[in-house]
Amino acid sequence: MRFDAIGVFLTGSKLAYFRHAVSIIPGSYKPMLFCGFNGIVLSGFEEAISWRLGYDLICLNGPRDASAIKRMLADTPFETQPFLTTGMQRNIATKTPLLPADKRKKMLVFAEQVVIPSRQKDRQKLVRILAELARRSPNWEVLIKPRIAPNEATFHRNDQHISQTIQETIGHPPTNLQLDYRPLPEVLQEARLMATVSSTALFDALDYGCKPVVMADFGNLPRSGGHVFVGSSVCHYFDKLTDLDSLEEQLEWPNPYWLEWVGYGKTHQPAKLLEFIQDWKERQGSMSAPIDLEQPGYVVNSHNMSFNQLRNSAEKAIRARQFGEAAASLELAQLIRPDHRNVRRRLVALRRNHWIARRLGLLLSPRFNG
Amino acid sequence: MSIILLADSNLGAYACTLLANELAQEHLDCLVVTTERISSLVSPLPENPAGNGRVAQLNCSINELLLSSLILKATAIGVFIRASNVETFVTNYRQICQLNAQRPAPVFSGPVFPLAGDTLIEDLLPRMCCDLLCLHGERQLEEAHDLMHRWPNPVPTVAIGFWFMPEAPETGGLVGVGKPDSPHTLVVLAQKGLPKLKGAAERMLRLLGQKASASPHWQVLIQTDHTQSEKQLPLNADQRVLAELPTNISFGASGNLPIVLGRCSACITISSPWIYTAMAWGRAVVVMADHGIRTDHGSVPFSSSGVMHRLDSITALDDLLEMPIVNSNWLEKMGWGVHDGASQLVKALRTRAKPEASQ
Repeated sequence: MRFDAIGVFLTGSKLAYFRHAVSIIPGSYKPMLFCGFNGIVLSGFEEAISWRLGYDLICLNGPRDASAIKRMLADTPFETQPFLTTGMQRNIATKTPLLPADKRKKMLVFAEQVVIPSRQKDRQKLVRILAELARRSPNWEVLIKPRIAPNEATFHRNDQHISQTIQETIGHPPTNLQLDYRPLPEVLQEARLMATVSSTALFDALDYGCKPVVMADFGNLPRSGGHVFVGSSVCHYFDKLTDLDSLEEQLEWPNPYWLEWVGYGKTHQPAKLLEFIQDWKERQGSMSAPIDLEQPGYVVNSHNMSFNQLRNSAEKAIRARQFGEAAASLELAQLIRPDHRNVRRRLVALRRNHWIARRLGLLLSPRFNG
Repeated sequence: MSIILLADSNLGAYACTLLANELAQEHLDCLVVTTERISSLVSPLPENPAGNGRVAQLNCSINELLLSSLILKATAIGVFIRASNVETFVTNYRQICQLNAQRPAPVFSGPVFPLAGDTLIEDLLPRMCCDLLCLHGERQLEEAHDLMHRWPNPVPTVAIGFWFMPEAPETGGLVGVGKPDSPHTLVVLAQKGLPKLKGAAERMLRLLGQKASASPHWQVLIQTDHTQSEKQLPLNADQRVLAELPTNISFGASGNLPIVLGRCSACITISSPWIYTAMAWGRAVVVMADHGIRTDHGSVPFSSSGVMHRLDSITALDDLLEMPIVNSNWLEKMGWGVHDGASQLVKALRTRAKPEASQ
């Protein structure tokens, strides 16, 4: 099957390696490659962009990200990197009309995040605050929606599942505080309120007509992601709330200007991406060449910095009998993965001074075939 | 106007002294209060620059300052202490003012060295209790404005340039303008804990050793960056690698960075902020690109610098003198483009100033 475009939503080095792999496919036809972000970016934006440079299109959430990428690439050879703001509306409108607030259950769903807050004592504090709030609000149901099921994993690591934290922190939770493993959209369609520390689920809540609130108890420091939500006008300290009735009464909808800034709303839509792909198809013969990532004085992660790219470069250098260069690439690869046996064996072979020993070592160590 | 500038590190104290001298030119009296003695950093500047304001220095703890009557006489206070301690200081100061039925003077603060990306945001957030944020250049101003977009009470900002360093070395202190003559010195600005990857410090030293051996007419000086005490080795590397280094590599004493930078031919770092001084003074510079752009290496601000190179791509140290020069637009936006920082600061403070204390 021939694809017009491929969207790549992987972690940094895999993103770079995928683009590299497509670039070496034989033949003149290449699908358009685009990448993006899986939600609101809390930190590490510049590093993430450095892994994405060279893609035919980088999809961004909204003007906040666009401003950051422009600042990063200004006055550099990569200034022409194409990017678009495609927004954060992740859910297609349901066919059934959304329930108005007064027809919804008095239910607050808390969207848990795997590593925010990250310290175990903060996660215990989180559970305690929610339990106390549930106790103060006996006419409400407080549901915690775990990000993952027990024994599941994301690329974020956490030692303890939220169910275990609840058990260890409060033993028996109040009867109106429960874990709920149903898909989030299902819960958001019946709950009145959705709470989070800094999850992208805030925007999912808006899609389903559920009023979001940001739990400000963990401050606005980057490690909690709270700083991104300060302008939303929906930040509240949960440990200071009288009960959920009072919260519902005083809670506004998020500031529309802030929503627009982060990419939620009608201005920034995936339709722009489809237009771009269509345009790409029509103009493919006359498209300008992709940006050249090889620029003296500039380094981008997506160019020869991933583990596999470094191994590829080493093999290329070995074929060209540039053994010093090959060793340099493998040394860097070894820093990324010090325990990789094949890299170590290849590097030992390259460091042999005598050409026969080196050649023999290279013959006996497994070659990387990308 | 009389301003107190408070610092809790050697380099912060040095920077505050430089800023105080600039403010004295603007007819202001300044008191630099340091919790550290600043003697170990040799300044290339004259002791008492000509100016209409007075500059004094005081060595005391933060609490001693808060309890002294001096604090109540200040018409503005610059707080250049560790970001995590700023809020406590500002809260205590404002409470002391309240107890004395006095309006608090505006408090300004910011990172001493130019930062960008996550590191800048992390540094700024604990300083949001201040009345004014002091930043370095256009880039930081934009980042701060984006950060505070739609905040209910955004904190005003001002860019005051590279105030942490002398704008120029002492007369005659800049060796070889344009292309320096032999014998050459390469200054390696070493930072605590960097590079982070296991074995990377040894690799860096081994490569430097190879380059130094191949270039005997160069002296390589591994210079402790500001983040370390004098007693520590600049690089936490295996002793065996250190023992094998050629004789033209040496470890420099900390404390005389501005002088060393003015006299070197080239300078290399992973992300030390002193590289900005080398850049601004026209030295040949290389920001090590071996590990790519990494937030935990502090290399994010340098992605646009135009001087990032892999150490293994440098064949001989003489190559350093032929490397492309720094992206000047980027350098200006990082702060080098602001040359009237002190007067910008005074202007921003005057709009927030409290009335002069009665004598």
